Amino acid sequence: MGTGAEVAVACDVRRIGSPVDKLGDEALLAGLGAGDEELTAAFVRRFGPKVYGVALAILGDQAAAEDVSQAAFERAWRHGSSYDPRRATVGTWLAAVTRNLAIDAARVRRPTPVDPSALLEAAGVVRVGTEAEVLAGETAAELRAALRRLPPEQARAVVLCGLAGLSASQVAEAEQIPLGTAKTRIRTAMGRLRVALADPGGCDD
Amino acid sequence: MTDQGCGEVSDLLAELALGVADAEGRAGALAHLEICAGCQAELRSFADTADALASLAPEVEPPAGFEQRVLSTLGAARRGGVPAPAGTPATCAGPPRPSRSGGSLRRTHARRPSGSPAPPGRGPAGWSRRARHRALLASAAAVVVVGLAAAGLALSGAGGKPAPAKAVLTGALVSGHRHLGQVVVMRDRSALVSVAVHGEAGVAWVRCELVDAGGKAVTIGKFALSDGSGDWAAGAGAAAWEAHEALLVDAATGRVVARAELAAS
Repeated sequence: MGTGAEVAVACDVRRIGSPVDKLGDEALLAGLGAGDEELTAAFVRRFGPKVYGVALAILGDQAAAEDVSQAAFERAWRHGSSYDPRRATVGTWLAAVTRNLAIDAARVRRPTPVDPSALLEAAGVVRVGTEAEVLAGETAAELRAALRRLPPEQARAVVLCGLAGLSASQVAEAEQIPLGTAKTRIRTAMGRLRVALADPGGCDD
Repeated sequence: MTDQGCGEVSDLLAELALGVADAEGRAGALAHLEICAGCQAELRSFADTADALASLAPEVEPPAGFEQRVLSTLGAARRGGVPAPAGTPATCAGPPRPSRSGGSLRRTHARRPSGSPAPPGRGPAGWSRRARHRALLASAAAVVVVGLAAAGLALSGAGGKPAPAKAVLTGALVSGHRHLGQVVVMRDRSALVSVAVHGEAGVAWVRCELVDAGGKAVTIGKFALSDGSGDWAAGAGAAAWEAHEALLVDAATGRVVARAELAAS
C-alpha cells in the first residue's frame, strides 16, 4: 500500500479522446484481464505502437512482429495478474513480455546482421540534451544517459542483446570478437546500467 | 539438469535477465536459482534493468487493421473458454491476415513454406515449441516465479487464468456535478482497484475507501496527487467483492473529495 505515491508519479495520466482513454494504464490492464471490450480496445490502442516497436526491433519483419504483438496482448490478457506495479510501469512490463515472445520467435531462424549504431540511434541514445529528463527521474532518460556513458563497444553489445534480442554468441559473431569477450561486455554493461538506474545521480564510471 | 554454483550463475544473470541465455545455461541456472535467494535477488535486479532496456525500443505505428486483428484474436481466445495451462504460449488464432512483405527491414523472416502443413496447436511463426520448452523449464522452478517472471523466462504460472468475463465494476468519480475520473474494481483473484483522478487541485494525498451495501467503509490505500491528478492501483482483497461505492478522502482533513457508485461494466 505504501507504493501509492510511487505509482502516482510513475504513471502517466493520459488525456486522449474517449473517456476510457483517460483511465490509467493499470485500470486498462485490469479491464483487459476482466474481458471488458471497451477497456481492452483502449489498452490495445494505447500500447499497440510500443508492443509492435519492441517486436519489430527484434524480428525486423512486419508480419512476424505482428504475430508476436498479437501473442503479447493475449499473454497480457492471460497473465495480467502477474503484473506488479511496484516493479515497473505497465508499458515496461508489456515490453518485457513482448521481448520474450519475440526472442523465442527469432530463435527459430538465422538472423542477418544488425547495425548496433542504428539501434542506439533509434532508441534515442544518441540524442543529447536530456539531462533535464534525467533530473526529472525518468527511467528511460536515465538509461539513455547511462548508455551514452558506456564505452561504445559495451553499449553496442548490450543493445544488440537488450533491443535486438541477440544472444552472446550472435553478438560475438556480429562484432567479430571472441564469445568470452562478448559475454564480458554484456555483463559489464548490464552491471553499469543497473548501478546507473539505482543511483542516477552517481558516477558509474 | 546440473546445478551450478553462485559464481557460474552470476556470470549468466545478465543474459538470463535479457532473455538471451542459451537453453543449456538457462536450465542449469534455474536449478541453482531455485535454491539460492541471493542469486534470485540479483536476477530480479538485473531483470528490472533489462526490462527498462527493452522498453527503449522506439514505438512504431502498427500496420492498418492491427488493432482490429488483435481484438479478434483476443475475442476468439476468450470464446475458446478454457484458458491454456499456465505458461503455455498464446496462439495466434485470429482471422487470416493479409500477408505483407518485410520491406526494407534488415531480416528476412523464415516462415514456414506455404505448402507445408502447420503443426497442430502451434502459432504461425513456429515459435511455440521453443516457448513451450521454456515454459517447462520454468515450471520446474516455480519457487522463483516472482523474480523470473520479470526476467523473461515465460513464467507467470501463478497467474495462468483469465478472470471470468464481466467481473469488472466501474464508476465515475464525481464531486457534486464535476466529473473527476474513474474507478475500476476487479472482482477476480487480483481484487485490483484502479483509480484515475484529474483536476482535484489543493489535495496532496487521498485515501481510497470501498464502501459495502451496509455502509461499512474499508480503506484500501493512500496515494499522492500531482497537480490534482493521480493514477493508482492496489489490491483490495475481499473488500472488492462487497464494494458498492468507492470514496476518495482527503488524507489531511478527512473530507470526502469524490465518490463513485460502482456498477458492473
